[in-house]
Amino acid sequence: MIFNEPVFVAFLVIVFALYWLPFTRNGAHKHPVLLAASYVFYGWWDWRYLGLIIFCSLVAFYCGLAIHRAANERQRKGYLLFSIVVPLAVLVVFKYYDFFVYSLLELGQDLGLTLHLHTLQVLLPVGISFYTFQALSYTTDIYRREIKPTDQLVTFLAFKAFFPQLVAGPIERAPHFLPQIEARRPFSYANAVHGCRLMLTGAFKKMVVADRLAPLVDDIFSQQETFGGLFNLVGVVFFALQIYCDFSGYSDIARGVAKLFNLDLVVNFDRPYAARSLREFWSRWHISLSTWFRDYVYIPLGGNRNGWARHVRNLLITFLLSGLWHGANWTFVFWGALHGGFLIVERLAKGGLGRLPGAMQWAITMVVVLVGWVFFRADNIGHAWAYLGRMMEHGPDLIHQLHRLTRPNEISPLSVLLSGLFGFAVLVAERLTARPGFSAWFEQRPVVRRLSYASLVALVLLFGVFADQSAFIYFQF
Amino acid sequence: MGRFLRNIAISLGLLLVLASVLDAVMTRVFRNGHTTKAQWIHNMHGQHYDLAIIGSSRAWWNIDMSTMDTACGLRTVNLANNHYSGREVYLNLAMFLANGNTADRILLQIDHYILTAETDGFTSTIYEFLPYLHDSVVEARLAGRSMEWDAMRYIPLWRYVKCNFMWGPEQFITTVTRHRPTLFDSTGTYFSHSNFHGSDQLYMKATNHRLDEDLANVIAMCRERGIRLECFTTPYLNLRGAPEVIAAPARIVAGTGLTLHDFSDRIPGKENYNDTQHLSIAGGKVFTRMLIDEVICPEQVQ
Repeated sequence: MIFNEPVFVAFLVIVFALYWLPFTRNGAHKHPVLLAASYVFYGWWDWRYLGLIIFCSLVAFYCGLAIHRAANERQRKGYLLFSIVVPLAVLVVFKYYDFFVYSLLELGQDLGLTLHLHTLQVLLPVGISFYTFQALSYTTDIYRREIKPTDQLVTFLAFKAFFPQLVAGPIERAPHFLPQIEARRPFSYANAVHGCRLMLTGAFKKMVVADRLAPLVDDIFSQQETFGGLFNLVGVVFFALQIYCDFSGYSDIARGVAKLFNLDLVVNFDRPYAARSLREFWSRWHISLSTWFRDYVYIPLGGNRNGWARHVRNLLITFLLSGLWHGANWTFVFWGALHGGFLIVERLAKGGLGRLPGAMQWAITMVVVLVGWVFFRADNIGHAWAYLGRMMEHGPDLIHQLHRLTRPNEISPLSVLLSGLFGFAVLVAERLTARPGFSAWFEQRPVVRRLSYASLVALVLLFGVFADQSAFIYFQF
Repeated sequence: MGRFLRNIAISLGLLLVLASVLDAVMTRVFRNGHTTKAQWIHNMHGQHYDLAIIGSSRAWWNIDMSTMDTACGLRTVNLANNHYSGREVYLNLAMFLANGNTADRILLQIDHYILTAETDGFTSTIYEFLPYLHDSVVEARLAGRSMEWDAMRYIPLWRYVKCNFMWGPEQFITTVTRHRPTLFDSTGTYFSHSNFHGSDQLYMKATNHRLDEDLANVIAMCRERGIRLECFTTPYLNLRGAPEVIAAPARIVAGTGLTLHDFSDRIPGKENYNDTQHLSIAGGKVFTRMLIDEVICPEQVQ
């Protein structure tokens, strides 16, 4: 079940009704309702993998209690280690094992060695990277004595599996989210209305921008050699818009759905393409993941302390792991390395880059981000280099290329133009709404507000992609 | 909570009213368009043809009906279209006949792909018929087939929302302003000017071939009206696959008692194709000549 399917709307109406109906005076039914709904939501994809998420949740729950109750530091460390190793092992087996085997086989082939290794060929469980990371942070926070564990199993399971954020984040951490679940907050009209607005903007980003751009991007990336440099550049710019609108659209819908239950998920995106440095980009892009890596990998490694060499090492390790987190492919590793490497360059040239005009800083950052997206989107490293190389070449005439792009997809050139314009409109609208005082201005003008949302509804209905509910890109991670 | 539910109900009510109005307006405009094959056929009334070709893109691309008309002294029409499976072939022919049009002879394209097509899922180009969902021919074929079709019939605007890539605002405006491009000529033929692209090798994967309900209905409809029905297979480039897969169309057509004109391996050379399955302009000329000489009017040629 995905957010842009009609069945999800029906599911949400049922869960909303069951959650808010006063079955119990103290709201004791709310956690079982949320838990059951979350497992139905996840099981809809493949019920067999429900066992995995339940297993990881139980390990985190009991290890959390054990760490808290442990008699000495050695026991605490032991339980922490167990709580880290088990979910990581699950992650490695399901996500990375085959990748490592294939890489070893390729290496062996290059070296003239015959290796006898077997792959598992298992289906990657949706959202596994998200819920394992959530489990890791829970026990680590307890170990660090930043939070106390809950002893309410159903509450904890509902926190771990809360369906809006289960398969593609944001990665919710216990200090922020568990108290909200435990509190069984009453209904909030303001939050529910805000939630509906977020769901609407998320649907616009996903269905009107990301899904309309997807076939064009797929076509350009799969046949880059038949397009000229300009169209290959268009392809990567479209992909930048697609992945942003796809993922931030998902996050918006997830936050919006959570608000219907008066629960607040963390903000995951803050206009990343406005960043003037890569450091700023990572404080605006997939914030729940970047802060996770900062708090649980980069800082424990030593962060920027202990000298320049250690600092460089820590940055590179963090970004290589971050790349690998995104997928079992060397393209993601390279993408992580590219970002990590440029962050180091940025810090080396701190004074120099900082003195450049703002537009220049932005342009340099966007070039790095776009080159990174080529690796992120490419099938393999060779494909990425070929794509980048093709971007530098002159191709066939523009009309011919536009014909090549639109014909197989049976879409008109006007439709291509509109899809791109909608994408840029999202960026412009986000810039406008981020201005100080905009919210107050907007709230004080009900006609403007209602017209804006009515227009969004109309745009989603008339221009959204409904025919083939494509999954959100970040589900695969 | 009450306020929230009231506002949601009001919003949905307004949306329903707006959707009903838009559905009515869009249906009226789209039904009167002439640019898609279904629109063209829907607006064709009382025409008589000596010969009609029905089938999918392979029976549509670059087969020159005007040349046939000149060579054989006939009036012909091409009712085939891209991505058509048996269901769309049936619907096109049923609409054509229901409008009082007639044909003495029909050539039905039969091949591996059309004999393995899905019938009831929301695939292929069945969405071409959405403006006609409440017409008796289309309704009889699609009603009750799946919840999806029922949703399209009863939820205002949903059919155009779901398929806005074909029936969206852009198409609405271009239909109203008569700027929506038509891909075919007055005989219904599409001339593609593309160069060869894609793989050189056509591989037919092994599946269970069957004469589905729709193709059986096409045969029955023709028999009922005394239309002379024959089948044909269009040429392919570098045909490969298991022998039983390649032989399946002939075996299935033999079971119906119809004649099959098999051209599947008759035209070699990449220059004759846009891709492994679709003839180019040059290949279309060769194939049109073959059809004229061997199928449509061999007696005149001799």
